[in-house]
Amino acid sequence: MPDSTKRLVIASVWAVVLLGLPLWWKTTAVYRAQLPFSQIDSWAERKACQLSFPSTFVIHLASIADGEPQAHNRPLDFAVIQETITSHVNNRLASTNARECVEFPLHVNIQNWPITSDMKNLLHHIEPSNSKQVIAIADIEEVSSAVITAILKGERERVRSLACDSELTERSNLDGARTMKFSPTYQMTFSLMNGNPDSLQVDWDIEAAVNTYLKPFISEVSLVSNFTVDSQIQHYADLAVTPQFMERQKLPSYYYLTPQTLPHFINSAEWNLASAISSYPTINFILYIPAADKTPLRIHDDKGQPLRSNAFLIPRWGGIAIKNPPKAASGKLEFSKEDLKPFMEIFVAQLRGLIGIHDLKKTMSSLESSYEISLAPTPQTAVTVIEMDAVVKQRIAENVVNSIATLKSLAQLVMDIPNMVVLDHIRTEVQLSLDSLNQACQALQQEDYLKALQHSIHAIERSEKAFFDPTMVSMLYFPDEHKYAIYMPLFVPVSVPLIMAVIKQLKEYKKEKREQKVKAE
Amino acid sequence: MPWKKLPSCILLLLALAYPVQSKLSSQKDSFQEDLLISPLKDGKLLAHFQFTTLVDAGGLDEKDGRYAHYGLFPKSIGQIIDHHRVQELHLTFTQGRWQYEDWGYPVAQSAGTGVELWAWMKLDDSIESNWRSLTNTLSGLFCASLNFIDGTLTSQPELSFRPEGAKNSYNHDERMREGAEVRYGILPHENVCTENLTPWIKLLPCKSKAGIATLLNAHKLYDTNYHSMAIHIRPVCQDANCTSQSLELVQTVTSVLDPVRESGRRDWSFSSLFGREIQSACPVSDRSAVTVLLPSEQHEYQLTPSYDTIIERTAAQVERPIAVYNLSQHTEPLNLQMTWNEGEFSYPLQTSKPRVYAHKYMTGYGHERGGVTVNIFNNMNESQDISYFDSVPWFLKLYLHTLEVSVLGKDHIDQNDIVQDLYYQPAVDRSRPQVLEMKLRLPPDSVTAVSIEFDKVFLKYTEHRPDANRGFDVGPAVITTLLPAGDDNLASTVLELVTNRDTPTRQNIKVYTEILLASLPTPDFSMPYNVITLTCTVIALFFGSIFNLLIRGFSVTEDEVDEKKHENKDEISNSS
Repeated sequence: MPDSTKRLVIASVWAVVLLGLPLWWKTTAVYRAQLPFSQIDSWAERKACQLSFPSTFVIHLASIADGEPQAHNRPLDFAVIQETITSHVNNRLASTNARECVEFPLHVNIQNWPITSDMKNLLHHIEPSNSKQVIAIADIEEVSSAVITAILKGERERVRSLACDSELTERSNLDGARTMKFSPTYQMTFSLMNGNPDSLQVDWDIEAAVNTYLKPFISEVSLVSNFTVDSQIQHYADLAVTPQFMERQKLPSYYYLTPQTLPHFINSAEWNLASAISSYPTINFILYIPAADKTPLRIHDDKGQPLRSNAFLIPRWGGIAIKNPPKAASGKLEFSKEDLKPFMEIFVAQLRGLIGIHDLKKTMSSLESSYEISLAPTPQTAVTVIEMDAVVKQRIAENVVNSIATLKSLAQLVMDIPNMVVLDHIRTEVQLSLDSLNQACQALQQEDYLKALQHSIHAIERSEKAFFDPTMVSMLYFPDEHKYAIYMPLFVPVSVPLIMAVIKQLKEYKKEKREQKVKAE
Repeated sequence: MPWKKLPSCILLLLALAYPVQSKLSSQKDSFQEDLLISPLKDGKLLAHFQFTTLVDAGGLDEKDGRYAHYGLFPKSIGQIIDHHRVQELHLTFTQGRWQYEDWGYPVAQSAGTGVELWAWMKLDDSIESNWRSLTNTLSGLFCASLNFIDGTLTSQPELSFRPEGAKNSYNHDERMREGAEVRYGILPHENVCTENLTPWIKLLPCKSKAGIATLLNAHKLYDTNYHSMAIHIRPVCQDANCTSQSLELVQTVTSVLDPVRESGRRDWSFSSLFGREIQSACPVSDRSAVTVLLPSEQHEYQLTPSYDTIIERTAAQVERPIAVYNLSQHTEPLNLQMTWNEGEFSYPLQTSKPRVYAHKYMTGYGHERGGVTVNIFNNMNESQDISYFDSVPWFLKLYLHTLEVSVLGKDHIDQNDIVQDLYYQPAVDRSRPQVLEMKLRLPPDSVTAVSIEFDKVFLKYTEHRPDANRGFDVGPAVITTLLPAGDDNLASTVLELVTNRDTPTRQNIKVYTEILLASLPTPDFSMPYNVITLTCTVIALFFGSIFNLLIRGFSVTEDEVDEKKHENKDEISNSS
């Protein structure tokens, strides 16, 4: 056989093998939909859209007192005042951080406050003594900017730390650690825990108490999240920790729990607190009645002093209040709606903390020394408009950041595990999530917070749906090792003669070349 | 302020501040605990725990279709039945087989080995998803594999498993069925153990800390011949006209203990049976009582301490006296003790058989086809109507034409005289089982045999269990019949008697047959890899030799050529 035929045979077999290999690779590969990695990356680097949280303040100036249009020294130039206040506030709140990833545009809008008869009372309330007081422009500017600064300061810091800082610093932030992770719905469970029903039986009118003290608050915050409310009574609720005994001379002795033991207060093995029907996060509120041999039970603070409220909050879990039954009580202890009021107040306050509402009164109290500021009293909803506003901003920032983080880890996971099946609907969810992010960001720029909140909720829901999709953790994936193991009995014996033939041919070819050279010489 | 669309909170407040009547959560609930102890004829001892929680169904917060505030009724159960729109629910975990011939009928009706779940659910578009979700939720709650009750195991009985609730209602059956459907599923292979009992105990108001439930000691409870644990939820009427209904949760534990095994004597006490004593009644219970069904001959035994009340020879045909201990009146721990005036217990040679019972067994041989036969015994002197239910998995393909109902020894009785009604649902492969239901009229003093043949399906490679060669468990056949009170269903009437409930003159009785083990043809599970390896080797060998042939040069050595040249010139081969 001539060498050329032989070489042709070898070359053609090799050609089939080389053409076949990619075909084999392709037919045994898993399906992976292409995810928009670059878009996710640009979001992760905060380049896709500039997050901005604009706020508008409307200041109503009662400039014209009855019949005295020229009470002020000079006519009010609203535009100038607006500018001055804006720059004052911006200066005071200027971030020390060089790299700013969120914008906080501020608009101040001053409006004339025409005095009508029904406002007389209010004015009278503000200035009971003398209604003809002249206020200097500088004072208006100073007071307004101080108030606005106080309102915005905490809010901005929180939004900024949520949006810009890495997760690590967020965790160290006490505030963020207390607030529940965002969910469109929370289940709220009130539990009446009775330490020992042998000596004392308990009952409560929780339904009426919830309707009266809690429903207004819930309907107000339902803009952000919905709540379902249920309650239960548990008997023989043993403590998981043993309280310490404090013996006092003259004064009655008592049992107490130290702050160190409080994290172990919940006996989750025996108290039926889990819900079986939904996966929404549960916020638990427990009214604990200690057993007679552990009464009275108090909680000590860090300094060893008993707390007045006798209640504490477990971050991201719920709140607990301890009620010591009166000494004389035996038989039955029933809590009427009125009896429950102090506890519901505690629970509402704890709930505010758990869903991320920050007390405006506290921030304003620092100002009260220099100015006389009276805040409009909180309606029974237990949350003011400004506080609600701050919560909405925080939740938007949190949702946007969390959905970006979820998408980013999804992208990383898909890139790290090359054998993972990625189906088309995952890509759709990711795309929808990115779209919602975009819309949320645009709504933010247009100062439409409600819309932004809705879109941010969609974004986080979709990104989590994609991340936790059951097909992403499929058991039936084909690792490469598996592939090699199965095809090894074919590939090894086939490749040996192929390779040997090539080597032999190469040797012969070289030999020929050498011979030709010798001949030529 | 950016907050423009705020609702006026004040108005909302006024709307919500309507006067609310004071309603305490647990006022409308009631809780009763009972323990029934009855010596059985073969020396064993039946201990039946029953915990009943009643909650006013009308008084619950049904504003948005959900109950919200729970007192004694467990919240987890309430939420589950509420969320899945369940009207009645019966869940039983059983281990061991109830010996109908020795023990009579059980107090708790459900006695099929394994885990049995049946529920009447509101009929709407989501009933299938509700059922699936219900099995999954209960599976999580009781740490059992209930989630394996999927479409292939779920059936819809037409004649058996009628609703048990709202009994006093004059047309309760129609009312319950209106807009409701039943779903039934059983896992015969499921093991029952402590991990199922612990969540079950947590549903009790006093858990196992006080009351009768303190006796529920898992170490002793599972060291028995038979044990069964159940929850039954059903609506019941509060009055005769059924104008208002309550939701009733009955939790039962039935255990058949064997005192003879250890000492040879029938003597027992709480501490020997359960290793514990009853310290006190559960403080939130309305009734807390231990009931002992005594033997008819008084001189045979001693019972200490003495009972509080005794009920003797009552109207409900109970021929044995009943001793009742009211726990709320006992200040000291109760350690009930019964001593028999006899030496070694001698097993009775003959036991009185119950009126209706059944046995089920496989017929045929081999892996290809087989059959199943159920023998139904009627020991009464009159004919008896029963409903027969059997759900057979799809992998045993029944042939309806092979169905044969005959009376053993009485060949002259025509099949059509026995079978009053027949309902058959054919299987769909991998999605639903066969259901065979019949209304039978059993002739007096007879053994009726129901037999049917089937083919065994060759399952797919992945459809086998990890222990493939063990075979597949097939659930029991269930026979439902109405029987008047008698000696064999004594125990179940006693509880109704002592709780002062209306004792029905006739009682619905369910008889469960044995579960079966069907061995299906099992493939060689390493075969795919063997095939791959073998094929690859053959191909490689073939390729190697062909390739070698293709590239090898064949040449004839010179001296051979010289010799052969003369013989045949054509045979000079050079290459191929």
